[in-house]
Amino acid sequence: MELLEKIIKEIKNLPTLPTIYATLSEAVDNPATSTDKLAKIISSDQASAFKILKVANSPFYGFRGKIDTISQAVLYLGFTEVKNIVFALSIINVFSKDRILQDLRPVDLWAHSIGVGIITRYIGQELGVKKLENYFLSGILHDIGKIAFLEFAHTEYSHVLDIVNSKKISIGEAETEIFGADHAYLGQMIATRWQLPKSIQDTIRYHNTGPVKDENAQLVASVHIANIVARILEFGYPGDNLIPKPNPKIWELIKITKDFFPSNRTEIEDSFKNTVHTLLVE
Amino acid sequence: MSVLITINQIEDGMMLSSSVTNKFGQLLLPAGTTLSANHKKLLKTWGISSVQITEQSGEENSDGVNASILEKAKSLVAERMSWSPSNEVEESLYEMALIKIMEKEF
Repeated sequence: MELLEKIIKEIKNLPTLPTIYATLSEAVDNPATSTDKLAKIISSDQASAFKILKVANSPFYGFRGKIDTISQAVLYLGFTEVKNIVFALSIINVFSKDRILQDLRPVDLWAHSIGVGIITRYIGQELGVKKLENYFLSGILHDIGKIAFLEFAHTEYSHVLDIVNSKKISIGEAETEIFGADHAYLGQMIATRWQLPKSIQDTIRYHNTGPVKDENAQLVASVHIANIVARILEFGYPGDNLIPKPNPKIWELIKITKDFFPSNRTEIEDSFKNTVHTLLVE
Repeated sequence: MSVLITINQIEDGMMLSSSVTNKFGQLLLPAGTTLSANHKKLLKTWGISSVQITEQSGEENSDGVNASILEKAKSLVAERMSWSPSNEVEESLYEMALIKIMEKEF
């Protein structure tokens, strides 16, 4: 499809990530980097530093109000998690926020994604996952393909929303009708372009279907369920209002009790309000 | 939309509108739990005397308005959710969707 090729070309031309992220990645990858050095790099951008502190103090990290400095954030959350927050901030700023289309606003898409990130992290914690770093970021990025459609095929994406409304189908199905590919496919291309970790590429690719292979299956399954819960709690707006059925296989990976979501709902909602405000409004 | 009832007034199928906690604030039953006779026994054992339930799900002398709210909420959820829960966690998701819609719409 010509249209799809045009979008893919745009993706290949996407800017590489902002300087602060590149500098930070290098520093994180270097084992000799000290916490102070890292804190200095982050603090060089005052606006980001302020937001990172706010996010680091969100209830879902469990250090509510205790983190006063970037050095502490690095110490408590770890290098990678802090880098991921910087990354989330950068990405949200790479794409424009004024590409409003009918009832779909980029900020609502981001809000949905931030909600999915938070819920994914809660699920990971509950499952006792040791390496939680990519849980929040995977959720934030899972719908990056929709953002790309809005950015690069604005007019045509309007047809997608028309089909969603008239046929009551999911936005992914409507995208495939119009473009021959959906946001999961497109999103993975972006993740590849930015050389994101394989685990994040997989969550973007399979967040709707559920995991299709053993690798990163628990993370993919967590995002899969978090996407459904974020829709139930109406965090932001993902482009259609459907609550999809969980892939039955994921319950082998997501062993949670029936009380888990109802009893954590208030805290999840608090984290959501706090983080959305920090990342999108301030 | 919630009403306080005593433990003896509990009937099967009533839904908790707020969580039941003990005096230390520990959660015993989360909001959204559908009550049954077993819960009634448990609540008595825990020394709980009253609970908040969503009004429409229980009262026998209900004037019909509340029952219709629940039906309305169910049909709103059905428009968005075309599947039936097949395990307890999925049931908790369905109940959360129902509560969310009732909070928002009514």
